[in-house]
This record gives sequence, C-alpha cells and structure tokens, in this order.
Amino acid sequence: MSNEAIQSIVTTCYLSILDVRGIPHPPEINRDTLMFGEGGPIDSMGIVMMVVDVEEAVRAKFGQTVSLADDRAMSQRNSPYRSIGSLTDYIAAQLDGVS
Amino acid sequence: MGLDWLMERWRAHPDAPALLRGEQIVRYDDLMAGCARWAERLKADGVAAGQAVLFDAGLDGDSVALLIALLDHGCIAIPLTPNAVVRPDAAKEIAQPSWIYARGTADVVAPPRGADSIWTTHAFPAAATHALYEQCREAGQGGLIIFTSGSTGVPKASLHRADRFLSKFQKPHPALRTVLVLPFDHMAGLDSLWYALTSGAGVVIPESTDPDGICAAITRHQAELLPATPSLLNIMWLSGGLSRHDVSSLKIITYGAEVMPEITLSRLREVLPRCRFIQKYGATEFGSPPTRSREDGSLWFRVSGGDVDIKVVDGTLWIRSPSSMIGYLNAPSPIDAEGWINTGDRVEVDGDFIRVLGRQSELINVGGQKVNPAEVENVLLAADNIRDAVVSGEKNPILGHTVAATVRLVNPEEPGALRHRLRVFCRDRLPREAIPVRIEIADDQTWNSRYKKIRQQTG
Repeated sequence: MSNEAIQSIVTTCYLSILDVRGIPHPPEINRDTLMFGEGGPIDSMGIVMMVVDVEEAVRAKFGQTVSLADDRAMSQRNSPYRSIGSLTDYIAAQLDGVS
Repeated sequence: MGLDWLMERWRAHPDAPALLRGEQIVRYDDLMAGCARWAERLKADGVAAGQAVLFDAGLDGDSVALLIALLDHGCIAIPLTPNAVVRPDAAKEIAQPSWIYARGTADVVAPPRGADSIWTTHAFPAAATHALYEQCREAGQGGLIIFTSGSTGVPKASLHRADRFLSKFQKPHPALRTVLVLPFDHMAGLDSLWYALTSGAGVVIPESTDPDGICAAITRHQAELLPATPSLLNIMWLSGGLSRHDVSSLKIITYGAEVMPEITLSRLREVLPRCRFIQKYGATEFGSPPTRSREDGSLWFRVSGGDVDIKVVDGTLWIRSPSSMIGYLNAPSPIDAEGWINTGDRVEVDGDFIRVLGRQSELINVGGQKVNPAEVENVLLAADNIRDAVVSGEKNPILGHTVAATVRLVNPEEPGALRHRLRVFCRDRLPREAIPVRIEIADDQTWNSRYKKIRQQTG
C-alpha cells in the first residue's frame, strides 16, 4: 500500500473535520500541513473525531485495523497527530508492522 | 385488603366492556365472574392470605381476574409476562413464591369459563419467607411485586403493599377508554390498567403491537386515552399510522418512562391537534403520582398529588410518596430514613414546575464536560432522513468517553456522507463535545420490548 493512498485518506478526513468545526479549508494541503498542537487548527475533540474516521477509512480501504488513539499513540515523543505527514507515517508504520 | 369497593363499582355497569381485543369483549360481569371463580380455586387449592403467588400474566380476562382475586385474597401477587425483565427461574429464586399458576395455552382473552384446566397449580410448601413479606402480613395486607431491570443488570424485585398501591385508584376519576400497550408486570402498564378498570372504562388491547395494529385498535374501539413512551409515539408517527387511521377518538396521550424529544412532541401535536398531551412521571419504586403539565404540550410539569413531596438536590429529583414500595427483595432499599427516594433523574426547576433532562447515570463525560444523550438525540431526530436515534457514551483513550450515535434511516445513505452531514448539522445546534464521534446505522430497532430506548454505555 502506498503512502499516497494513506495520505489521501488522512487529507480527506482532515478536511471533513474542518467542515464540522466550521474552519475554512487552507489553499493547499501537503505533508507539512499542521493539524493539532501549536499552529494547528483543530482541538482534541476534533482529533478524536478524525482518528475514528481515519481508522474506519483505513479498514474500508486496506481491510486492516489500525489503532490510532491507544496508549502507544499518546506516548510518542512526537505526536502522530501533529501534521498530515506525521499521521500518514504513523499509519504506514502500523500497516507495515502487521503485514 | 378487600376489594369490595371495586366490585361495588363494577356492579353499577355489568354490561360495560372491560377488555376489548379485536372481536373479543370481556364485560365487567364476566370479569366479576372470573374473579369469583379464581377466589374459589384459590380456596380449593389451599392458598392462604399472606402467601406469595407467581403467575403467568397476560393482557386478558383470565390474568386480570387472577390478579384481582389474589389481591382480594390478601396474597402477594407476582405477575410475570413472557417479555418480563427477569427470567422465570430467576424470578422464582428471588421471590420464593409458595404457589405458581402457570398457563397452558396463551392467547385466551375470555375469563375462565370452566377453562380453569388450562391453568396448572404448582405448590412450594417449603418456600422460604422473605423478611419484607412479613411487613405485608403484619399489616394484614396483600402485596404486589414488580421487577425492574435496574442499572446493574440484575433485576430487582420491588415489593408494594396492595392497599397503598391501590389507594389512589379509590378516588373517583374520569372513565376514558384506554389502549394498553405496556404489559402489566410493568409499573406504567399496571397503573394504566388499574386506572381504567377502577373508573369503569374499557381497556383496549391491540391484537398486534406494531404501530399499525395499535392505530387500528384505536379506530375500531374508539379509544380515548393512550399511555405510551416517546419511542413508541415516535414510531407511530414515523409509520404514518396516525395519519392513515382515524384516531380522532383519542382525547389524551400520556407519555413517560423516558425523556420526550421536543421534535417528537411538536410533530405529534401537528397530527393530533385536538389531543391533550400529558407528561407522566413514575417509577417502579413509587408508582405514578398525579402530574399536571404547565401548558398543553409543554415538557414542564408539576407533581400535583397532595400526599407526594418532591425536592431537588444537586439537580437530581427526590420523591417521597405514601404509595412507595416497601423495598426490594434482593437489593438494599433506596428509601432513606425520612422516606425519600433519589430518582436518579436530573431535572430543571422553575418555581413549582420541573422538567426532566435525563438519567444522571446516562450522562456522558466527555473530557470533563457532561453531555446529555437526550439532548443529542433531539437534535439528530430533527435532521433529514433520520427515523430514530439513540445516543450513548463510548470509551475513548483521549477524552475518557465520547458520544456515539446509532441511527435508523428512512432511506439508505452512504455511511461516510451521513456522518459528515449529521456532524455538520449538529455543529450549530450542540456544544462541540456533544457532536457524535461515532455514528452507526442500525438495521434493527433501537427500543426494547417496553418501548424504551436501549442506551448502552460501553466501558
């Protein structure tokens, strides 16, 4: 599975959360787009929602279950929720680990 | 306690219908004859006053006559329906009846016209006696046990003294032909049944309890009063049955047991403009005290019975009523030394009036913010294509709990698009912590056999 496919899921879910929060979409979204934490527009409620959506989308697309809100995700030195790229990499690593 | 007062009332209208189900009609003289036959049988079997008697209860002349005969005989009656919250063996274990009356053939509405043989008697002479039964016996009174599912999952047996339970029905009250949908091993069903029978009104028993069956029974028998739950009223509205059938005979709809969504109430008032809607407030533990709504259709009401006291402690309603139960057979009593019961219902107060917000135990704690599931359901129900919605808490490692919604749809919809649409719909109507995180589509019904929403908090 490609990182592009994963990044596409993360991006789609991120845009959906921006809608739910009533936040305008940025002109461009790439790996460096910040989501959560300093400079990121969504709060913990938004992250929780997004994580559930991404988990479901990954399962639908790849047929595999990833866990993005467990203790491991929370205890990472660099939060996987920080940017589009960090969450994409975190998911890719989990999918590699199980495949 | 003797039920002479009841028989005296019934003798004034022997020809009036007491139970109406399809073509079958049980008149009050039939019911009296049924009570007399059961009284003879109890004597013949050797059933004594003060003994606990479990029996198969249905909405039919036989069961109703048996219930009345047992109370008149001073027994502790334990009605059990097929859909009871407790399994028969568990009920037997908890209540330790001295006698069981089991029915061989179900679905007979007529009283036992020599049909006693369909009932079998089982005696348990060695049955243990419960300390609480003594309170009935010492007072020389019969009793009544109603099982309640309880929040822990173990059904609790609530023992009521018959005279206290029945005293409010002795006051004269208007006779309104009543549709009975709830079973009579349930407080609301029992209350409606007694209210109707003690006024001389007929009780309409729908042959089928789907929305159309209920509406058809209302039309056929010109029913005037429908006691229901908001979930049942919601499905009756959604099914279109209320518009398809002529239900204009309905004068009053009472609702209770769960929070009424405002959207459901306003939809009902549109379809039934001449009907009065009255909020009931009751529980297995203290029955249904009389209530008065602030204005027609309002969710604000006050408890208007002279003998019932209420108080609000930290936003939670407490009730003290002379008709409260004696206690649970198998759980510590929730009644304090002054007779107060914590209802566990969170309420808003405005002068004399209160409004129920929901169960304290069903509040969802989302990162320290309290979310009321009923409030979220109310918003979801107002969105397009939503037939029903049930909201509960779901464990979450980040926020402790989050809000999860299960919805039933009118027309199929793609889950991702539905989730997005509902969340955006909620955005301007709910605080952000109340917006559902998980939204699932249910294929089956979201209410239980008592027409109450099934809210399951995970974790």
